[in-house]
Amino acid sequence: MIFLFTLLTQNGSQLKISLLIFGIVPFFITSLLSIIADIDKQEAELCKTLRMGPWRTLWEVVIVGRLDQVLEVMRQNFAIAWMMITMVEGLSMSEGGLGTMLIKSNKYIDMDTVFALLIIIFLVGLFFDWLLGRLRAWLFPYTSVQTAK
Amino acid sequence: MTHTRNEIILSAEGVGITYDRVILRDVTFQVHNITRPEVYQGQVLSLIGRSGIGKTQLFKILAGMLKPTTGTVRIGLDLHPVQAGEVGIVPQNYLLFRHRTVQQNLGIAMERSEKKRTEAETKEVIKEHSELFQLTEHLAKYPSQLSGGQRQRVSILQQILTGTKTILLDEPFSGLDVLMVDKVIELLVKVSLMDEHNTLIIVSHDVENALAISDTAFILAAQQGKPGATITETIDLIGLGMAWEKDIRQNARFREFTEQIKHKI
Repeated sequence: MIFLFTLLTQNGSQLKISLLIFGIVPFFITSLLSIIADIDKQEAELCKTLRMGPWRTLWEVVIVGRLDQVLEVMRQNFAIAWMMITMVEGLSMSEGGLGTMLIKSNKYIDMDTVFALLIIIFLVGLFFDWLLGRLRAWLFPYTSVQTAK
Repeated sequence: MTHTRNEIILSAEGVGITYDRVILRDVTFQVHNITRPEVYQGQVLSLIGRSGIGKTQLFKILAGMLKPTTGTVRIGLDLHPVQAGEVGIVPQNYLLFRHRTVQQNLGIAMERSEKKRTEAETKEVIKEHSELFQLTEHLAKYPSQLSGGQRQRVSILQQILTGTKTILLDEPFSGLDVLMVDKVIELLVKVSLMDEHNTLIIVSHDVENALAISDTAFILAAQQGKPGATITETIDLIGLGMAWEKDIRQNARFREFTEQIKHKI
């Protein structure tokens, strides 16, 4: 598989990105499909009673109505991608990166660097998750408003 | 009580639906425009039946959302076949667009109404109506911030603002406490008083509350030896002197009558 991707891409950076995308797409597509499958049929009926056409219904219910969930899926997928980065960088070591450093340090039993790298990966991951969470709350305020009891 | 049953404004003719078995059979009924001297008001009807009898199917057929296997539903003064969008629906879960505020949910309802309005006029209409529906302070909120009763009011108002005269309400009393039921009844009466052609069709298994608010009720039940459910009885509550009475539920004769009907569904 790596061989095939190496042939298809022009440099190490492209190879890493292609491998990451290849790893993420199945998760992303299935999560998106499950969001669409979970849409209540009644929402389309509501659009009909409001005399909306099929395109407007698609826009209102599937696209705008589910953007917050799409971002949430992206957030989860980003977390998976972040976990995969060490693996991908380990597979394609020519470009360097945190994963390459981690694997090399591990090979020479340089545990101080391994732990430091693990902590950095963990903290950067947490930071990005927090950032995406803030973005979600800012773009879609209805996801974070207090729910009435 | 002086009243006149005028032209037919909704008619179901031999409506039936069959899946792997017959669900509804030969459902036929008519809704007349009822007028009273010096009172400007619409109609309130109930379709009463027990759970699982096919009320939801009939509900969807009346709204033009589902094509019946047999028969047709006609609507309007010209009695044309009903099409989706001509009849408003207030679903049992008071569904609203969760990504839109109350104001936006109401605004979107007016986008496609027959009467074209400017943005300022739309805002004005929403303001007027939200006062009547006690929603003014909730206009900036999202549906998830509203209580069940508030959501129901938004849902009803949303359908009214589309300009639809006929509104179907699915189990509007279910899950509400006694005080809330009184408020809903009050609100529905208010809606029926808004326009002479406003027609509210309540689909419910709650015999007492449905009868208390209606001028006409149809019982949807199964007949012995025949498959599927049909209209087994039409109750003219005006003729019985039980319509348009605010405190009818305290009336002993009404209570006795309700008990009789409960045995028929």
